[in-house]
Amino acid sequence: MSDTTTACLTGEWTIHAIAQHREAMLALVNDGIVAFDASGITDMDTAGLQLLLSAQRSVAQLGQELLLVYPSSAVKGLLQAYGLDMTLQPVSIEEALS
Amino acid sequence: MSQIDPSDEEILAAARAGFLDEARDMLRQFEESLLGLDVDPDDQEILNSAFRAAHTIKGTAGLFGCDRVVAFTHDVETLLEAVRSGQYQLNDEAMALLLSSRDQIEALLGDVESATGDPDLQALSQELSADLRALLGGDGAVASAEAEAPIALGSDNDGGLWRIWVQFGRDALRSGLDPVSFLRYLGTQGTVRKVRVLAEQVPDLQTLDAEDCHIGFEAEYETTGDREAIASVFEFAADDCELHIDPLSTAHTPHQASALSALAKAVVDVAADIDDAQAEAVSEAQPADRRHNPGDRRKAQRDRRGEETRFVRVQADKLDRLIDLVGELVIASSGAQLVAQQEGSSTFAEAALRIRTLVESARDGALALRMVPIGETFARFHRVVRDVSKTLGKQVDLQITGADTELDKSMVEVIADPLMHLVRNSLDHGLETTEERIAAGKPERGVIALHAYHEGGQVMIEVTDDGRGLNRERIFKKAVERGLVRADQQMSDHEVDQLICAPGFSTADQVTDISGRGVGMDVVKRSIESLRGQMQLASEWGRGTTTQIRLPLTLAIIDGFLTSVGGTYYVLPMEIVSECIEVPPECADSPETGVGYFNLRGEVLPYFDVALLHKVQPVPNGRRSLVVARDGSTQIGLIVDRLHGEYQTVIKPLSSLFRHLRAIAGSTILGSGDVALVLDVPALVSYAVEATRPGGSGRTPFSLYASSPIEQVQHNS
Repeated sequence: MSDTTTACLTGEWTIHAIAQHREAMLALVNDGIVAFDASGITDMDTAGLQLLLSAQRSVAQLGQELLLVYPSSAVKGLLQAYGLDMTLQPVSIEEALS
Repeated sequence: MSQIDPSDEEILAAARAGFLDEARDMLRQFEESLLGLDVDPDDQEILNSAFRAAHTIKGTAGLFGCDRVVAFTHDVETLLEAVRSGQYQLNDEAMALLLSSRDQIEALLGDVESATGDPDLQALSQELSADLRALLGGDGAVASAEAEAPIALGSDNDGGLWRIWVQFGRDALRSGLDPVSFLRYLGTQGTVRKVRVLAEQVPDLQTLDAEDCHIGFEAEYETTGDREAIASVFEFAADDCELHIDPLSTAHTPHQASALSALAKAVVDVAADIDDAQAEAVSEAQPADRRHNPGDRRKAQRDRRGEETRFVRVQADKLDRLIDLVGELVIASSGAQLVAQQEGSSTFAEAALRIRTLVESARDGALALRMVPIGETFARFHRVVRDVSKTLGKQVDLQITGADTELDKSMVEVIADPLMHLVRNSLDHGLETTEERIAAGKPERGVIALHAYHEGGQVMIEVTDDGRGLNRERIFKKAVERGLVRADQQMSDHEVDQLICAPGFSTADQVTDISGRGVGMDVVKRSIESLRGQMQLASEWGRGTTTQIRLPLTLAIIDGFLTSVGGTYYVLPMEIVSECIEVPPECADSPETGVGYFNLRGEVLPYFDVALLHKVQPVPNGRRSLVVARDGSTQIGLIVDRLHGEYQTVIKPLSSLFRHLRAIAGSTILGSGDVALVLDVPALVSYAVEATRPGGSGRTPFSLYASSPIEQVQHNS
């Protein structure tokens, strides 16, 4: 973990501010950052999730995996609604059915 | 949410009209595909296209509550699905049934418009449906019955499991829709058992416009509500999403899996946009591919959409109004130019010239909007040829060339019937039976060719068959019997051929006597002529017949060549004017008759004095000119007083009072406000040729003479 810098994501990740967040994320990912602390995200909608998914794609293109840690309740709630886990992968079927 | 207020009803009615329109397009595609399959039953591409067409019709019919169409089309689709999956091999019986099903769907669609179900039609539906199911045998019938329940009835799937697939439009987020809110709402109305985000389309950060929506989801959903209830959740996002709701059964036995795959075809498209439905049909057509290679599929879908959005549907009357306006603009700009000339102001003239150039481009652009390829009209003859040749027991190939030749839309509509007539005639009377053909040493299969091309600013359409040709002796005899020609009249072969187009030459019961053709050929000829077109026949005994139709590109505006005789202006269509020369001395020989021959560089051509047409007095001592006009291969000279040069002409039809005049195609208003008459040159040519024929010369050219109101008009003006 020593060589991994974690960036803190903050603010409202909704359609209203999402364009700025994209620019920030783009800069971060280009700097080689793949781990993100999501505890500061106060609100998130589908636009926010889409940005995360997009970031995941960009990171994957660099041959790495996006890491999301300490999600706030807003982030968790949205991921849950979409049936995604913390790695932004679909929750396994067993879990979904439970 | 199901309550419909009046404005919704209006919208629905408009949408329904659009649906019927599109459904007919789909039917055409369906038919084309079926006919393609008739030729090559193994072509998967064509099979898929047929399936898609049927599927789209069903899906959208369901959307508009046309249950009868849905129920029937479903059986058609089931059969096609069986063919696709290799369970059933297409044969002649199935093909015939599918084709009659096509007709039935058309009839049902027609019935939708009338709102009340026709019992006869219903009975026929059931009969055909039973036949379709019978083809598939027991299994097929079971699958069909199972599949039918939720689709045709749709509302009794209580406590069922559904698969919801929804992809949101690009602007969904921007317009305040959040896909997750639908998911959450669904959760309050039932149980969302499984969710999968459709994020394959989300681009990377570099290319992402974060406000665009690339997200959709697929959910397994348990609810006591029916399909409508689920669809209503997405109702207010209808324009912004693409929605599929498919019923799922709880157990997945292999047998049911196949039934499921049939069920998965049941698409209800909330978007009410049939073009979307078409694109969806593509996606639905490869349910297996979706999972394996979703990226490619979506890409293909997007490309397809991109293509579709390049087309705009416009009401025809709006277009007509635009063209009318452009027509007036053409006149006005001519007027401005005339004033500029009169004023002698060079800057004004320059400005007027610039306007004229622009107006000309606007005119060309406006007219091009109306142009459609003739291929669509041609394509429908595949079915005719197939059906009629089967009935008659003849083997016939239809060859089509020049399908992309463009023609004014209004003409394409009018030309379809006469063409149909000609093709039927060729099939019925032109082509021999297979035995006769073999006996005559011809190939077994007869050929009918439809050929379209542009020539000299006109559109040529040819219908050719390699049948027995016209029997001139019998035609001539018949014409004499009917009093159309004198028995001693000298006629060229070509002229005899044209006789069958004479009114009253033949009626249906004489056709078999002549064993040639002639069913209402005069009707065909008349409808062609009503389009300012002409029709000619050429035939070689034993080798076949060609009917050539020559049509103007458009009916509204022409590039004209303005001339005048006395005080009357005449416009000739520019494309038929080949040159202008001084009146040759030999034309002065017979000033009274006004017709005769002149020598054009060694070629002897008939000429005709336009002054004769309306008994206008030529300008005394004027230096008159002769315009050489060409109609196809025939050239004639027209003598006029003055040449005024090129002139854009908006043709105004003559009132019905003057309709019978053969030499006048219409009138136009000049920039100066004067009226000019548009000469119908083909009529003049045939007249001049007739009047100068050896033995026929000197006859009074009564048919063109102004023993009619036009004379008074001329004198009063």
